[in-house]
Amino acid sequence: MKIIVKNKSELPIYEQIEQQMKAQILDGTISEDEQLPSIRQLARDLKISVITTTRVYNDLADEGFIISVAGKGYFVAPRNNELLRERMLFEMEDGLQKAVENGRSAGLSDEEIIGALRQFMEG
Amino acid sequence: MENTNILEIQGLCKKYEDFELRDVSFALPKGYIMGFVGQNGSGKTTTIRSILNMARLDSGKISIFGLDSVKDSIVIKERLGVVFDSLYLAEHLSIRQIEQQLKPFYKNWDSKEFARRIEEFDLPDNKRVGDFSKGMKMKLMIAVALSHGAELIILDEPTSGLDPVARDELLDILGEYIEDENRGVLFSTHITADVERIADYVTILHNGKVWYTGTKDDLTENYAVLKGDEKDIPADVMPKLIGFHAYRNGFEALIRSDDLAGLPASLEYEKASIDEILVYIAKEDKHERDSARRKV
Amino acid sequence: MKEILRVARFDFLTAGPTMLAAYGLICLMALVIGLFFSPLMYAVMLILAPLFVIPLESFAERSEFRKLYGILPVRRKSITRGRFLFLYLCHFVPEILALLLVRLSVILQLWRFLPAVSSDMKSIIEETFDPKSTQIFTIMIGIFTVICVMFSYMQMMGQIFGLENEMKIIMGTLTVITVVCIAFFTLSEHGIIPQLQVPDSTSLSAAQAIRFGIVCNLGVAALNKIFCEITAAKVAKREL
Repeated sequence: MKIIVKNKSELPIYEQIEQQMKAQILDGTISEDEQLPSIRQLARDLKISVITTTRVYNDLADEGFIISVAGKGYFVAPRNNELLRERMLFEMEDGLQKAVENGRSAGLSDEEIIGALRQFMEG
Repeated sequence: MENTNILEIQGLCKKYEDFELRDVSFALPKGYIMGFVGQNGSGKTTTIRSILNMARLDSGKISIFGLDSVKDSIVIKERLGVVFDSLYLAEHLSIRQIEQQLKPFYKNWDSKEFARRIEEFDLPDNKRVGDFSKGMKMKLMIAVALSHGAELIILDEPTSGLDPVARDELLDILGEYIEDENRGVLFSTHITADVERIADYVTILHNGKVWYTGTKDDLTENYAVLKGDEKDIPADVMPKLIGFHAYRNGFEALIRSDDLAGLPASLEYEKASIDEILVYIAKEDKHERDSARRKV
Repeated sequence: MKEILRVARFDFLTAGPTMLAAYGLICLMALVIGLFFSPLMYAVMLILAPLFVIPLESFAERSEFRKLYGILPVRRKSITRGRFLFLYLCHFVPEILALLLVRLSVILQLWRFLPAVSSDMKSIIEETFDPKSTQIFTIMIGIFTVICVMFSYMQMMGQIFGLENEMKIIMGTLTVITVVCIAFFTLSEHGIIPQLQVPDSTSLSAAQAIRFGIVCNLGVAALNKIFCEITAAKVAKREL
């Protein structure tokens, strides 16, 4: 698992970590059933607060990416359709974000970008 | 339910001729790091001296490990580690001699652990500790705290005058320390960057009063820095701005995130860092003083 | 009590390392001269005993022990009591040592082996090794008494009024002593109070000398304790 925390990012630290962990779980960098570092270990490694890592694990567990095993710690959740769907959504959002960014860089208005998308879908 | 606060201060008041702590209350739950921030002279050191029973309380109550800070001060100090901004050990002695001095005072003193820490921190054990660099002195005080099994470490401005490398090392050490969830850290500083990352809780002291106490996330999520043209500020929002500061091309002020709703799009905002929050609190203060002066 | 001993040990370890070597050297010199020329030489061991006490305050100040005292799991009164115990031991141990050495020197009579000394010189030296004389014994006790009481007193005043006022304390104390002495002598001169009978130390019998020694030692210990408790009561209330 590789996580980079940017202090100067507009995104809160917990969201940065959540995004990176989700991406790594989805693309298989962190494999199924793999044990994750404990909340306090992760806080220590990243030099961030325990409350932040607690929030990350709680959010990821709520979203079904990881599961908490009492007395043992946190593990990557077994793959399932729900997760796959999540992955698709994730990649779609990723693509959309890129599309919007590119469109804006090209000087298109929001309406024009949405129009382009509609056209694309009607294709 | 068992009391899980490792440190709890209730209604602490303390009056000096030129300074006063007013009704200071906050609590640090076991297992977490609290950043204790505020300008110089805001009362951080006085609060810490009160916790250590070095200053008498005019009123209020402080409990540490659920024990009374005055009545049980000796028992508490067995389990407490303290780092001050300057070294409080015999500066003409070597580390080895200092260990000999301190050892008998602590039931749980662990010489092996001390030796291990000294090695880990790269401290020379035959040199006068007075000749150590600031960072080495700080690490020596931490080594002492860690070697008698302190369950709570209180740091008073440990990073003032430290180079960035030593400050980073301190954060590492504290991160390792707090891996044990039965411990706690109270970290007073005016360099908020240190607190920004590792602190779970933050208490902001301003003019002897608690301005904020709670989780750091709540603090940074609840305040934003608002910027824009003064003319665009709705009349009802104006009094809610903290530390309003107008300059030639616009204004800047701190605002509660709740008050952001419904503001004109011409006003821009971004999340506030603890540092910025401190700056705006100080500006607000100056602002009040100025307007008070104008009325006179 | 354990706590007080710990503090006394702490004080010893603070002053000891810098002072012990120099003091040991002086003791060695005193031993050589004392064994061969005059046991009176052991008096320097007593006169220099305060060397262990004098630097403590400046060490404490420079090293910010004020803060350490707030951190250590020790009662405030124990810190003061430990200091006074250390101060007392700093004088008491050299006193006992000096008295034992005086005894040893008188028993050994090593001066006899000194080569080529004039007969005048010899008789002066011989006198100081006189086994029947109690003079050196009483002088040692006297020095111990004066120095230990003086430093206990200065410790008390220094801690209560602050080290920066040391000069004022000394001047004030000397003035008071002078006034009391003048008053005392004037009054006894005019027969208002009875004149003080100072016993001649040279003519004290062994039993008298020992009684004198015991009274002095008990008196010094008592005064040290009184000064200690006054200081502890005042200082413990203070904020650190």
